Order: sequence, then structure tokens, then C-alpha cells
Amino acid sequence: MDERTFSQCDEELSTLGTVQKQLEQGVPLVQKQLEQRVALVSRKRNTFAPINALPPELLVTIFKIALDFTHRGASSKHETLLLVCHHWNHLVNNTPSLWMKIRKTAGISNARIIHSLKKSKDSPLEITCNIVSSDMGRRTQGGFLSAIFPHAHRWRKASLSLGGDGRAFGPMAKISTPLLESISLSTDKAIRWAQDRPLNIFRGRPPPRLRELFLTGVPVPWSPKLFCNLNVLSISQMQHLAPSLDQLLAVLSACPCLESLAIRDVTFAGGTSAISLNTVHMAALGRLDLEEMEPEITNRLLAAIRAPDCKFGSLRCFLSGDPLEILFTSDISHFLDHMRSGAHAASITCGPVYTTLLWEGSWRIAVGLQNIGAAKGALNWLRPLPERNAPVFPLQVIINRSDSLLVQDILAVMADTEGLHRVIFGYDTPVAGALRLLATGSLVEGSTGRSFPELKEMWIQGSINDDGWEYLVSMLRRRQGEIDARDGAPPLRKVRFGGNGYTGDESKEISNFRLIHWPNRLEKVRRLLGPEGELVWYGRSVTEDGVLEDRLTS
Amino acid sequence: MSAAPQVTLESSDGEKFKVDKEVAERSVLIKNMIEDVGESDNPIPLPNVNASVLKKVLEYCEHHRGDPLPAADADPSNDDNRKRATEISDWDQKFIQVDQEMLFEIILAANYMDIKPLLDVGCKTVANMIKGKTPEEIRKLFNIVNDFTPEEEAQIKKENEWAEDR
Repeated sequence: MDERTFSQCDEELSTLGTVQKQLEQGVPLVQKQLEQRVALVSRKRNTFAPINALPPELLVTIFKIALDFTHRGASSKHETLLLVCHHWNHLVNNTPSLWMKIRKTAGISNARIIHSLKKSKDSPLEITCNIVSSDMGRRTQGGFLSAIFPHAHRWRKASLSLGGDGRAFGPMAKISTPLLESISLSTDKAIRWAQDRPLNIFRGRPPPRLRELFLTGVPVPWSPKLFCNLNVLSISQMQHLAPSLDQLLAVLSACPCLESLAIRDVTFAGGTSAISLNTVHMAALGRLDLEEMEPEITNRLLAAIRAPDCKFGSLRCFLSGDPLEILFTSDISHFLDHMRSGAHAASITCGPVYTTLLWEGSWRIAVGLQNIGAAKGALNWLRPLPERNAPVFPLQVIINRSDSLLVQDILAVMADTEGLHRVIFGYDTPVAGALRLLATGSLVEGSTGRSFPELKEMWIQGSINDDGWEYLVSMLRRRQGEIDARDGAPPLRKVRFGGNGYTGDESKEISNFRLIHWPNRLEKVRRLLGPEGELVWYGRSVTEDGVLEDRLTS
Repeated sequence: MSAAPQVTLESSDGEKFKVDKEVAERSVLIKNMIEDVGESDNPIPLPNVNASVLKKVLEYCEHHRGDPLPAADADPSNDDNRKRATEISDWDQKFIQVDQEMLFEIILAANYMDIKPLLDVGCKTVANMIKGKTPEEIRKLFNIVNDFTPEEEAQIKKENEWAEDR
């Protein structure tokens, strides 16, 4: 029997309690030591991971690409890479160049920006800020600008789209940016520049390395010395305090190295009257974009600029009268060869309001015109002259008109057009009348020429009624030579129903194929298209045997 | 017509590859070695690249033999160079569909042999594998274990926790 007394038991319990306390106090320490030991062994283990066998500079290159937010798709965030393992954490934390790209949007806090600026140490900075359209962003705009302007000496690239009336750009007058190579300044399109004077930038002298300047709604003093070293210049959305044509040409004369010039939506001070310089020679210019301006202005600029190597460019404007008289009043023949050469396709879209001609090549020309006749005239003017034996490139006509007679008029105008290989009838475009004309071949009254001599494809994006089906079959029989063809038109090779952007119920259309149209109409159409032909029904090919394929076609 | 000049490359495991000089010179390292040493029948040793990897690298060089060579002093921050580094052609995508071990070996070989376009393809491929993934998913993908103590992990999270403007 245990002979311990009451007090002895108490004493022993007390001692055991102390031991227990001491043990309990030691557990966290042991646990911590254990965690540290586990971390150390894990770190050792991670050195054997194949990716960590890459030298640090290659891992940093990989991280740069993963962190780059300027490309399509999701980019990684710094905190993700920091949390992968100790080695990655160390690399990301201690590589300033991984923090040099600063992006500010409404969803990115200024605290993060300040953190990145600190981490980037002395690295040159590439800053992107887009908060024009966000109230939330505008509230933090001041804090953001206060954070980045003290680092202007490190800016290499800056793209600042700021909200408000332009006042926020004020500090630009005082900053020094010795490393700056490219800058884009853009203000709120809805508010526009509301200051009574242009923005003084760079203390009136261009930064030594500046080669690219993009101004969107932000006027600057149009002094040639400010622009003299540029390779790229873009002026857009400038209505207030815009340059006169003379000022612009003087600026261009001072830019011997300018390789790319874009002028979009600019209302020049004094209009076309403010031009006295005859021509400006731009030997280095390889690209010219003139968009959304009065055609007379576009014409005067094209006439004034002499750029023998300008092989790429774009024109976009609306012409309310005869395109040949308006856009080409002054001689612009020095641009014609480049505009014409390299074209690979053209498209005419007959919309509800106006008709658009799109010329696609190394020059991309989009002109809004009053009607199909004007579009055809402009197309013929742009096309290389026949004696050059240039191949006629494919042309498509897209008809989005709900008036059946107008649709027929459009077809009549285009019936003898060379190179027209595809006609697309839009969703709301009635097709029966058009198909009847195509079926009978009586498109051009009194014409002895062939109708649509090179038509190969027809897309019908909307619905087609019973008459339409009959005319489609008749047209195909005529073109495929099954019935006497007065005009000898070549056979059609592709018919496509539905189309990209179809908003209806595709599964219902697929059912229609099986339940309603099958096997009479579509089978007939498919057979008439011949073995080399293609019939697409709401994204799915119909085989020669009349079977609807499961997979979507391109 | 005379045959294209050829050179012999020797991998780390002693296998010899006879290839057109034009193909071998996609590697700046080899190009410089040929220029330094002059024409020779002796094989050019590549002690850091084994035969299976060298075979793969040469397949890449053969396919791209006519491509313009990147400028030696190309600034990696330049837009065009970055574009080069971020877009992968269809053929390159298929070429680089290999297991991870081979992928990293190709990157190391491209780095050693100084074949910038191949290095770009490799780095971009690995970066694409990282993009959009959580730290845990990245660890799992690359056979890495969490080597932070809970305390360290909490600290990193705290330092990088941003109260975003909402």
C-alpha cells in the first residue's frame, strides 16, 4: 500500500504540474524548431526540382514573361511567385527589374504601386495607367500621380490615360525625364481638354531619348523643336488647341527620322485654308494613318506628304459625294502605287445607313460612301490598272438591307464586277427576290455580259422562305449547267447558312435540318454543289451523302 | 553543284552528329567556335549537351535554318524582341511539347549554345505553364514543396496583401 501522506501527494502533484507546464511551454519551441527543420529539408529538396536547376537569370526571364500584363491572357502576380518557394521568393524580392512595370487601373491600389516603386529600386520604369473611364480610379488618381512623378527620372515608357479636364497633367511641365523613350498622354474623351492653353511638357525641350509620342486629346505647343527626334508620332481626338495644317507640316519637316505618323480625328485650326507649304519630304516614313477626318483634310495631307517608302498605312473617312472628286482633289498619285500594291482582299458592306468599302493590303482603306455605285467607283479606282496584268483579288459584298428592291439594286450594280467571289446576305436581308434575279440571270437589263462571273460562295445568314429555296435551287441548277445558262456563269462552290455571330437557337436549326429540311431541300442543294462543293448548315458541314457532321466547321 | 559544307558535333555522351554548317551556326557558340578555329574535320565538342537533347536542338535548328538571325545586341525590353519572346509559332509549339525534364534541358542547351529564338520558345512555354496558377498549383506542376515555415508564409502574405480600390 502506498504510504504517501496527503501533503506528500499534493507536493508531488505540484511538481508534476510544474513539469507539465515546462513541457507545454517547450512545445511551441520544439514545434518551431521542427517547422524550421522541415523548411530547411524542403528547401534542400527543392534544389533538386528540375525547374530550379535553371540558372537564376533564366528563371528571372521566365518570371518576366509570366508577370507581363501587356499580353493576351492572364498574367501572374508577384505575390503568387513569392509564395511558391524560398528560392523563387528570394529571386522575385531581389530582382528590381521584375518590378519595373507599373500598372494602375481602378482595381489596383496605390499601396501596391508604391510597393512596386520601392522594389524596383533604380530600374528604369514602364508605367501604364488607364483610369479615364472609372470614377473609382479617378478618386485615386491624385495619389497615383503623387507616387510616380517623383520617379520621372526613371521613366522609360509611360502611358498615362487620365480622367478629368487635363489639369492632372500639370506636373508634366516641370519633370525631367532623361531616360524616357516613349510616352502616351490621353485624356477623357467625354470631358476633353478644358484648359485654355496647351500642355507644356518636358520644359519645352524633348528628352534626349524620346522616340515615340502619342497624344490623344492632349494638345502641346506645336513647336518643331519638341518633335525633332521622333520616330513615331500619333495625334488623335484633338479638337481644341489642335495645330493648323501649316503647323503640322512644319513639325513634320523637323522630323527627318519619323517612321510612323498617325493622325486621327483632328480638327485642324483654320481648316484647309491654313496651308501654305507645298510639300514635306519624309524619307524615313514607312507608315501613315489618316483616319476620321474631313476628306478635304485627308486629301491635303496626302498631297503634301512625299514619302517614297511609305508602304503601309490606313485611310478612314466618310465621303458624302463622289469619292474621286472629294478625296482626290489634289494630286496624290505619289501614294497610289503603294496603296494599290499588296492588296489581297476587298469588301463592300451595304449597311442600313451607308455603304463601306474596305480595301485590305499593306494599306488598309475604309471609306464610308453614300451608295453602292460610289463604292464600286472607288473600288475600280483603287484597283491596279488592267494593263499591269495584276491578278484580281477576292472581293466580297455584304448586304445588310431590309428593303428587297434595294437588295436587288445592289446586286444589279455588282453583277459584272470582277473578282466578286462571295455574297453575304445579312440576318435581316430578304433573299428571295435576290435569288430570283440570280436564278433568272436577268440582273442587268440589256447587258450581254455574264452575271457574277467569279461568284463562288453565297452566305445566307437569316431565314429563307419557300420561294427562296426554289430560287436557290434554280440558281444553282443554272450555274451548275443543269439548265440552259444564258450567261454561262461558273458553278457556285459553297453555300453557307447561318454564320458567325448567329444569335438564334443553333440547336433548333440543327433539328430543323433533320426534321424539316431533310432530305429534300438541303440534299438537293448539296448535290448541286458537286463533289468539290461545300454546304454548311449553322456551323456544321453537310457531307456529300447528305449527312450533317457533328463537329463545327471553321 | 557542290554539297553544302558540313560540321560534326559531339555530344557529352560521345555521339557524333554531322550537320550542315548553316544549321549548326544557328548556335552563336558554334558559329564563334568555327570562326575562331577555322574549318576543321575534328568534331566540335559540346560537353554540356547529351545526345538526346542535341538531337532535339538540331531538329529545331534544321527547321529554322533560313530564318533571319536575331541581332546580337538586341535589347530584350524592345517591343519587337519582346514580341519575339512571347509568340510561339504552331511548329514551335508542337516541337516543345515534351516532358518537363526535356523542356528544361532544351532551355539549358539553348542557353549554353546561345540559340536565342529557341531559348525564347522554352522560356515562354514555361511562363505559360505558370500563368493563371496559384502557388500550390505551381508547386504541384513543378514538383516543388512548400518550404516556408507557417510564420514565413503568413509574413509574405501580410506584406503583399493589398486593400484594392473597390
